[in-house]
Amino acid sequence: MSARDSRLRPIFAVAGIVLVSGALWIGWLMTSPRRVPAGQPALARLDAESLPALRDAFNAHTDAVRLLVLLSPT
Amino acid sequence: MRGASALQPLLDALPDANVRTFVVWEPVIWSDIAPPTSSVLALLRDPRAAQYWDAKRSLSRDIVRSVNQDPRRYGFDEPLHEGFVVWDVVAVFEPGVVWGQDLPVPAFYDGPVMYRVDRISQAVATAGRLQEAAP
Repeated sequence: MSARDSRLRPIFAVAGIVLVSGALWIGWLMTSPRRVPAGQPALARLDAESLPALRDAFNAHTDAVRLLVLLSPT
Repeated sequence: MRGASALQPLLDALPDANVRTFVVWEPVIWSDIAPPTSSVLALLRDPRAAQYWDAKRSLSRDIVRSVNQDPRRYGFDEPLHEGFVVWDVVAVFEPGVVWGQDLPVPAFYDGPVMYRVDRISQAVATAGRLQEAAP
């Protein structure tokens, strides 16, 4: 093994750890359960076609003060 | 994400209020590659809340479309630029308001959520008083 190879070895090791950690994190994120707290309806997927369902839910509570909140999950 | 944990105490302080919260999670930053996990969803545990995952930011786009129909109606001097993302924001709507083709004009909106909790709380209280005054 050359001196250059032994200098590169730690870099490859760190890169490998980062890649494996990233892959594990993504795997966990993709497969983790999505359970909402008790009493709430199940997490609903929203897209252009299902927007009217959100509107309907909003309009079903016109007697209430309503909060519409847009957030990112991480 | 921190916005949701900031909102929960606000709702805790209003246990009997007729308040409904619609939380729409959307991908904005690089790490938003999947719907919120159970631990994120648990940040807002109020049973008066409903939570959504909007992978394509459809609601944000619909809000921009609504605003750009008539920016001044929503308090903007000019249209929002193409690709504007509505996020980390709370809009408060008074009782009686109906969402038709366009998003109704909120009584109050502001963000980032975690830094505006006091103002959001005031807006909810004000809207709640209107609710009590209604026949």
